[in-house]
Amino acid sequence: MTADAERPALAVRGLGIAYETHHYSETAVEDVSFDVGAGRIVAVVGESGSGKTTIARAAVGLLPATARVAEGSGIAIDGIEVVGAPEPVLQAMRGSVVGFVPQDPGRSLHPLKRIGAQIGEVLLEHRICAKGEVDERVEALLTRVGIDEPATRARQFPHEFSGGMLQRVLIAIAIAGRPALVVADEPTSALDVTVQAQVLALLEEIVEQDGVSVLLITHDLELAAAHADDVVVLHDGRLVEQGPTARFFEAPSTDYTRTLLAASPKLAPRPPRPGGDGPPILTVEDVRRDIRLGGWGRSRVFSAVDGVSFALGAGRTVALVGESGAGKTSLARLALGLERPTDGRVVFDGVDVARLDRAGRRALRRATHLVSQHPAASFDPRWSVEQVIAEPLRNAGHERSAITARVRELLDQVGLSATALRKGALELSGGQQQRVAIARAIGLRPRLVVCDEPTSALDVTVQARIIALLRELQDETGVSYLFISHDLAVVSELADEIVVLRRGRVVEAGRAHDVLTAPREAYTRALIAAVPGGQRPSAVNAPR
Amino acid sequence: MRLAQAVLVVWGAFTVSFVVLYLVPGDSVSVMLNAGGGTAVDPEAEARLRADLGLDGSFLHRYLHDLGNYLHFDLGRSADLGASVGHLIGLAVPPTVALTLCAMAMSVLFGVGFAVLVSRWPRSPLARAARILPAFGNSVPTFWVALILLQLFSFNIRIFPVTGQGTWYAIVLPAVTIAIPYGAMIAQVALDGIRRAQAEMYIMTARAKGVGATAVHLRHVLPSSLLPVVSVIGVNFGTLLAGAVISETIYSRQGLGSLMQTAVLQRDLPLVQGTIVVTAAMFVLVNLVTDAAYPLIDPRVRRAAR
Amino acid sequence: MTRRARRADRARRHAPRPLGARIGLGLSLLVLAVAVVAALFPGLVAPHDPYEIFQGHNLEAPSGAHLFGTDNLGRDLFSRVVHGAHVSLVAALVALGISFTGGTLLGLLSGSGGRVVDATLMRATDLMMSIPSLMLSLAVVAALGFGTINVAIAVGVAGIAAVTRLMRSSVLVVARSAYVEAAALSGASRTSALVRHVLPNAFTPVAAYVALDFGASIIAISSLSFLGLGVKPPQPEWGSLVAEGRSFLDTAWWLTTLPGLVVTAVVVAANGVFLYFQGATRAAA
Repeated sequence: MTADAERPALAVRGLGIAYETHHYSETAVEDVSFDVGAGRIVAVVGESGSGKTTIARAAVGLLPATARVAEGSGIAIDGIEVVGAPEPVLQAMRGSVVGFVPQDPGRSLHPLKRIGAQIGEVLLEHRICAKGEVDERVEALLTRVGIDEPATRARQFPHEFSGGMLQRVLIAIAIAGRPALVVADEPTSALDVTVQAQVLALLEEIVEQDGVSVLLITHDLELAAAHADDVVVLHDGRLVEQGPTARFFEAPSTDYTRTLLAASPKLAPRPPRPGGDGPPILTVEDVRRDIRLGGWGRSRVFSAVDGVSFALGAGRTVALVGESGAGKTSLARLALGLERPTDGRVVFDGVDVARLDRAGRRALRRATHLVSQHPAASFDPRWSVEQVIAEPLRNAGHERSAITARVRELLDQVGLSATALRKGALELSGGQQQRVAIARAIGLRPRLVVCDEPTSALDVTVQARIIALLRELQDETGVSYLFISHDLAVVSELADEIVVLRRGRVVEAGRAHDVLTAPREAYTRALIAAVPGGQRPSAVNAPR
Repeated sequence: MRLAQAVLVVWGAFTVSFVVLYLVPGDSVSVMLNAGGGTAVDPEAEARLRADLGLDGSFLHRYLHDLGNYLHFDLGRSADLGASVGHLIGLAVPPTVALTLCAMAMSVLFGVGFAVLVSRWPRSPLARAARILPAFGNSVPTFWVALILLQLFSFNIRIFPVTGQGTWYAIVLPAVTIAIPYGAMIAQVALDGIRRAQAEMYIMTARAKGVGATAVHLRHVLPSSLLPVVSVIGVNFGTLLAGAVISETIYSRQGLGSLMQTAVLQRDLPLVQGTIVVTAAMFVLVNLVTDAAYPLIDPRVRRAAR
Repeated sequence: MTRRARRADRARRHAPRPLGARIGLGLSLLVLAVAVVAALFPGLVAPHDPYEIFQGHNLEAPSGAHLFGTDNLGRDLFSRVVHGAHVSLVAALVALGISFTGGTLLGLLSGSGGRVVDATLMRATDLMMSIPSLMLSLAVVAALGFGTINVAIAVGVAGIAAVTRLMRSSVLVVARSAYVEAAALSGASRTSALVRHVLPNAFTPVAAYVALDFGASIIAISSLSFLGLGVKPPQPEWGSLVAEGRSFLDTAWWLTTLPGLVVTAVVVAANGVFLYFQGATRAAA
């Protein structure tokens, strides 16, 4: 049942939602109104806490029990009012009038049920076809979303599928009932960039062919620009700006939107920096790392890293770029000496890392450190900010008073106020935690800091600030970075050299500027093309 | 592989009990002789008896001797009762198996049922009050519950017979007694499993398909929550067996439990050792069964056909 | 964590617990306090001597003079129960001490030692756990002889395996966590990381288990005493008191019901404390 041309697929009027428990009350959404026209894709863009996920769940009537919808709010899907509707009505609508594509495909399907059964459940629930026809319909749907061998695949379980394929299955489930509206909640944030592009292309195709409307929830402005017809920007529960995508990006009308646009990393390489001529501080020579899989006599060996070589100069940044499974994290661990290469050498400051004695290892620890994707996981849950930052200094045997002074100095350097010292490390926000992790990492003035996806879990505006901080620190202290990321846009703001990895092998390597503006390999080109907004010229004047 | 481990465990039980009982001052012979009335004994006869039973000789010698016997299913002779240990145990196993199976069925039924009902409406005040019940189930001593039940239903109300055997319904009270702590534990694990399953993202997907809350609870939440229950049934089977000791004693039922208790009271070492080894074997068997159930429930655990 | 989730978490942590939970905790602590006082100073709490025979007052139902009634020899049951607290609770503490010291050390060793050490210890605990704890205790008592101390040792030894398992899995999780690795990157030696990070964090779930196991130990000890393996009469102990009353089940219900009730109450209180702290760490629905 698709929407007719005049009636919008989704009409939101004066929507207000608050979460209330015994302890506190918090407004998540306040006075938001917008439409999703028939056959259009509207992107709701916002950072965490903007209320976008709340709106998505409200549209399908699946808000948590603590949510209270304000008086006078209205959500109408294909003309049917959702707010205040009785549960049987909502149940009938879910899956047949409005479909939902959730985030994180790896966890959104029941692990114990076959894929075919999970798709078929929609058909059976809404009596869309007779029992005997279900299998046929399911296979047709699987083919529709681009899954080969549908008959075999329908009998398989979720753990036998890749992330991208699972997301396609979820899309199949969402459209099985031929809804007027599909609500897609961050449908691609858990996927690799190339897969992301494919899935979004599929959604666009479905919109065009079936006339379905899509409400696309995302934190990624560039993604919205590339795939949506209209954009709605939310900030702290309020609607900040809305309009057709094209006009939006050319002439944003509010400060917040401008900040958001500026903060989104663009795929524009920094101009090549002079220097980097001296002896490299880290050399990776034809390194291979094999991992043994399986047990009970049936073991396979697979190479996480195979024949990788590169060099990192003093005060420079080398970026390791690739999708999941490329071997980036393995290389990070090898560079830090946490693991030994099966073959080849890792040389730090002229010494083979695998051959270090006790004193040598201690020195290595002091000269290197790591900033990882989830700083919270790297803090002892019982420790305060001060204890966390001081740990490397303590272990190096520094004096108490010297440590206290240095910790304050570090806090200042990373832009945190002294009030943070006493707080529990886990009480801070994501961005603040990452600053603490950085402060800890640079405490002993290391030569090398490995940054493993340090901003992937952060909001766009926070991400921009952390990257600026990293750049600043490098300018001030001359530290070298081994920067690991799947996000080419982020990398382009920091890297001097880029090494593109795929399945443990180097695909292409060279100066950042060259790799980004004149890639030689097809895979590199594909990665660049897949970056949302990557092809758009940086017409938006982002002050650098 | 699992089978090999199982055998290892039973062997281990044998060894541990052998070592522990070896520490006992005096041995079966002195027990036997004492049982005879404690009259003065001819030391020569005593020595001959010892030799007959293989009770002279070093630790290793005795160990291997006993182990050899066990492998031939000869579990020795009861020092106190004189009969073959194997025979005594053979008589005792069936009633205990009946008792534990009956109790297990009751526990699983009521434990899981309770958890399903309470978690379907988690916010209702009844559910919140009911949620602390399993904790009580775990807190009551089995021997006390047995006596209370006996008093209430056998003496006062006279529904069930006083002795726990003879008629088929005589098994009810003894089974209920040991089912209470076991069922309480199952209920707690099931509640926790259901709570975790309810928070999973795929439950939201199911609701978004338009499936009703009750249907989601039964068809999506419940199957996921069964896994920890299955594993706990096996691992904690020991609680049932332990309960059987007390239950059989109080309800005067024949079985492994009461046999062991008598054996310990009489310091009848071969009998004690025999019951321990057989008990371990039963436990291992139950765990093998539950381990085999896993791949049947969870497709991720099945060996992938490549 | 999103900002909203963090704010919610903070509010929850600083919020007072619901009234029902607090009442529960209060009652539990009260019961435990009474039990502890009775155990330490039985003379203060008990109105009579536990061995004193009141001629002609056999098998009297509870009354003003004898709160729990009298037994078949005319002894005041309440006083006997109070003095029994001393025996039972001390024994439970001994058992607890054995289980936890042994279990924590073995668990730490197993979780942080090499693979061989871990595998051996795991097989050993598998073994211990394949014999129901009551039966294991029975075997130990058969070896050591009767008496309360031996019963306590037996129960303690039987409980080591479970604590080892718990501590080991906790250690494994913590030892492989990102923050222990961060500590290594920050220059911490293996021992330093073990002591400063692994032990304090791994011990928390084990500490919660202490309250639970306290109750279980009391039940196990009184069960063994009930079976006749504990104290020698006429010394009072909760389990043996129930056993003494067994012959008079239909004539003098208070002899079996009341001591058992006391045991239940103390164990429920211990479990109540455990549940309260478990609930405090878990997300409130």
